[in-house]
Amino acid sequence: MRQVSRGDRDAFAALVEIHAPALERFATRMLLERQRAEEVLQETLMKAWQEAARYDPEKARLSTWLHQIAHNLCIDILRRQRREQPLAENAETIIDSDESPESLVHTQETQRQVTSAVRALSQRHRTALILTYYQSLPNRDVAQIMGISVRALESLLVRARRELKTILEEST
Amino acid sequence: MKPSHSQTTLSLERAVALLDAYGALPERWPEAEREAMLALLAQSPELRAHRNAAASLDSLLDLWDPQPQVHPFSLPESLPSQQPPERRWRATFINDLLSPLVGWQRVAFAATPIMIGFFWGLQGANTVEDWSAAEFSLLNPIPEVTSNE
Repeated sequence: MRQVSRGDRDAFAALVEIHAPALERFATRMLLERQRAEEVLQETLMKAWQEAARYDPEKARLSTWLHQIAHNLCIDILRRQRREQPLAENAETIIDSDESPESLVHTQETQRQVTSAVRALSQRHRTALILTYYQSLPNRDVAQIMGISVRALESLLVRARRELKTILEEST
Repeated sequence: MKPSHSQTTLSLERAVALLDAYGALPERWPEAEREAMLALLAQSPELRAHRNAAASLDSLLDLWDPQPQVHPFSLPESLPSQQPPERRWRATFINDLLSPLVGWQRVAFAATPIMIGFFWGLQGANTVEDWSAAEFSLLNPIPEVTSNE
């Protein structure tokens, strides 16, 4: 990161290669829309490049810092979307698979159910679940990104999973 | 001596809360409680049943896996200019204020208000004796006494 802060383009390219896929998956899950997620990824990486000198490894791990930037951008977009139109109207079900047609239909259906169940969660519940479960970030890092305590995060996670279970049980 | 992770004990209530929050995979549990959790799972059939329930929700959640984009992110030809490291505003303010001064001048600048305060204190506060009778009567007017005689 020190090299990136000195304007080393190759070091930045290496950083992008390592972190971009996870950041994109995070943004896609948060926004449920691939195009916007790509925009968030691009903006996150540009911010990381511009503000590389301000990154403090004592305060946060690099992946946590990058997720924090992406998280803030996603929250801004979601707030804007909430003002303009409800999330459910423009959300996509993102499916990419090499499975057989029969099992693909079943998988697609289940994925649709999971997507709509996650979509039904509140923004904080969804963020907690995505960062902890899907991004596999340590609980302390997730709490830091969300600006809450670890106990508060665990409480959000319990409620999120309980809500998901209820929704998924009702839909099957 | 600090207890090692393996020595950490976990209540059944906390173990259930961990499964409810993080799911069935040990990799997702808080590192500090992982070993104790595994030890408790080995002992408690009730906890194992709870873990199975968490695992079935996990298996559904695992189906939602957006793949990374087909065309990986490529760096633009020209990257924007980088920002300088963040400076603490207080340090920046003092540095900017003192920037035209060097060495002993900075020390003298900082010492001036202290010296003024010191000499001011030496002079002492005004005492009642310093006040003239006229000033005293202005601040403490003597009420007029009327007689009925």
